[in-house]
Amino acid sequence: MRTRSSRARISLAVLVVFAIVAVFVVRLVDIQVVRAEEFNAASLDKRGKDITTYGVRGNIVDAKGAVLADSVLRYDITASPRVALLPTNSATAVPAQLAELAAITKQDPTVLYAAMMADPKSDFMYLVKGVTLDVFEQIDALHISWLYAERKSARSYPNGEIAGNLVGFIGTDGPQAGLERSQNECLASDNGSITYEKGEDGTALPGSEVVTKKSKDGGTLRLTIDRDLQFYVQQRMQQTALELGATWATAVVIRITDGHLMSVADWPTVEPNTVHEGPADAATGSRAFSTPYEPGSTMKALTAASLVDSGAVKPSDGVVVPYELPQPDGSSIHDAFYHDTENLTLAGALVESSNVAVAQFTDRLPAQKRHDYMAAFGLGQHTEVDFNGESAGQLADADQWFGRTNYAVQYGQGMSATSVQMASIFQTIGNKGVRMPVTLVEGCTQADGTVTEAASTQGRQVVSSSAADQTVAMMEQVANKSGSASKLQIPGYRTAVKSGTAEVAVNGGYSDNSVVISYAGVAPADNPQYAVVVTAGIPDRVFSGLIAPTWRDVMAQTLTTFRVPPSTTPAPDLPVNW
Amino acid sequence: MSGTAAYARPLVTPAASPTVHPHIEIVTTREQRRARPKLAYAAITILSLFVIFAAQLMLSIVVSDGAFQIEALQQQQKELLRTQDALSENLNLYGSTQNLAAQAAHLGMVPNPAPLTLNMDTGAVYGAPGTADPVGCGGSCNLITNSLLVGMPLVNPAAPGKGNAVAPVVGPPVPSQTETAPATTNALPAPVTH
Repeated sequence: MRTRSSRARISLAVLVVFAIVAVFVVRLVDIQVVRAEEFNAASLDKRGKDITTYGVRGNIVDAKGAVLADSVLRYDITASPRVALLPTNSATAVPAQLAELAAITKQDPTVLYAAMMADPKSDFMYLVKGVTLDVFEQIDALHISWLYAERKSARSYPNGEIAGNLVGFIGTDGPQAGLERSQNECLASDNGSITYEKGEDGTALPGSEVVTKKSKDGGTLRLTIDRDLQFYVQQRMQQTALELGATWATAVVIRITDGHLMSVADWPTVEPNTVHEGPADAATGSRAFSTPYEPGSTMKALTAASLVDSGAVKPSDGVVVPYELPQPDGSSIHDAFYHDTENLTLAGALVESSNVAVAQFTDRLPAQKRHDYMAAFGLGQHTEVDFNGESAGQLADADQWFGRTNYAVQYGQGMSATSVQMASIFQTIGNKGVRMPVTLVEGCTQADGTVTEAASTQGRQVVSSSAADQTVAMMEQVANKSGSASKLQIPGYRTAVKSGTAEVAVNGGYSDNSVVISYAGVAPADNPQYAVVVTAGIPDRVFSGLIAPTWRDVMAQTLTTFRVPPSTTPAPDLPVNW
Repeated sequence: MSGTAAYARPLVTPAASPTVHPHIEIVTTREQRRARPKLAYAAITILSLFVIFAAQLMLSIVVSDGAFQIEALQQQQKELLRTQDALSENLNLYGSTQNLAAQAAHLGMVPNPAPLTLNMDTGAVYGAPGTADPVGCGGSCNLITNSLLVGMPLVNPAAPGKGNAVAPVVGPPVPSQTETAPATTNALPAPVTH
């Protein structure tokens, strides 16, 4: 028989059961839904392991694939003094173990021991940084329990100073100079990560590996530079600078058909492997790109091409050339060496490098037109290379060319250009008046094989083919008839050059003793293949002929390196006087 | 408890004569007999379970063994890649221009700044053989430094059979060959080109 009390008991029991079930449900929802993520993460932390996978920074290679910069593995050896000095390790063994280590790393064991004892409670200290794989393997074979290794990627420049000015280097804060910096987008790698669940012994559980982020290797940056030619040119420029007592020297070799730079040499230059140990004010970039100078008479080649192209002057047109030409403002234009009044053609003006003659021819073409020619040749603008820290040089507007400057710009004073810009001018003249984009980077090959940064091949006609050829013919007269002709001959090849001796502005005026001497030209003159510009700053003697043999050697080496066929026809003979 | 089927029986008075005891047996119906589980089935089920568990165990052993193998091979691959990296680093260094120049100079080779050109069509030779090594330092006057080459061993010319044999520099370098420059080869006249 059911009584009231028994009904009450049953209700109570049901209530209690419901209450308990409700507690469980709440807890279940809390764990499975509300805090599910947190618990999952925590459990993965316990079972799972997250490891970083490293992408490798791309190499920089020369035109033939020789490695100029590569990424190498290095190991930092670290120690835990606290573990080393634990009683279980018998602290007395530590000096002996350190001695073994120091024998491998060629360090002083007492110094290492002192460093360890400086903070014996510490769990982390560097013992030696950046050891190579074989050293690491020797250390690993010692089986010292309190030594650890950290793997890291480092940068190595296996060719040292060769193209160090171009390649640049990497500091602790990333790329610092040169292509390492300006082409970082191509070279940089991305680290990735992999998560896996580990068993008791640390082995990855099968099928538990999840690539949370894929690592990406950097691309390979291929330059237009030829390593061996670069070596020769740098060598020759350094010899030249030392012989002449110059404070700097640059050389540029450019391929005429496509504007590719075969060599860009600077002295002083950078040894990227040790640049961090050198003085802080050492050269770190490429002067040939970054530092414009007043080029002087090499600019007369551009002037001649402009005058001939415009139809204002023919190579055989003549002017009467005194030593000195007075100007309305009381100053005067004069030639470098005293001479009696002579009758020079335009070709003769180049052979004698006469400022007075060029100034007279200049009057036949309006300033604005001459300015337009200079701009079309690339002056006053960055080249297509856009090198790290590149300068555009200075080219004032034509209405700013007051007084003598109106003439001086035509023989390379009162304006400035970089060595690379000068090389581009001679490339244009050698290439039948077509200026090709100056190119230092052939392309960037990504890890997946795609090529980016491919160089533009779009040329621009600056002067007519005929004007360019006539200019080359006039420069051949310089190579064969000027005072330094004997130092400019390359047996078998016809050469076409122009010299330059530019005064350097010092304290607001031009100095007779501080000059920049240079030679620029193309070869073989009958079918120009390469243009070479060599320049030395502030030599201890003031004479451009001193650098003529350097031009010849660099050009001869270039022609040999690239197996250019010798000339087959004789050089034209243009009249110098009339 | 199959024998508990209840049969309604009339209450009877105890038999007057106890001599006859009729044999009474509970008989299962055919359906009941048929429904009774057979031992074989149970045995098969349990055995199958064992087989399944064993197979699973074996599979899991094989899979995890594979995991260990993969792990070991991946480790090996990592080490081999590491070695490859280190070797190609060395190769780049051996192949560097400065090293080749130094090795060549050590073997007595000198750079010739006056190259000759032969025109295959006409047989004409351009250029005049000048003095090899006009600077006189036997090709070892390299000014373009490479700090990574410090301690790089030089090839030992005394061991020509072993192309890879390297030995530290010992003794004086082989004298330069400039004195024995080849006889001039001006049999063919060089054309005047200017």
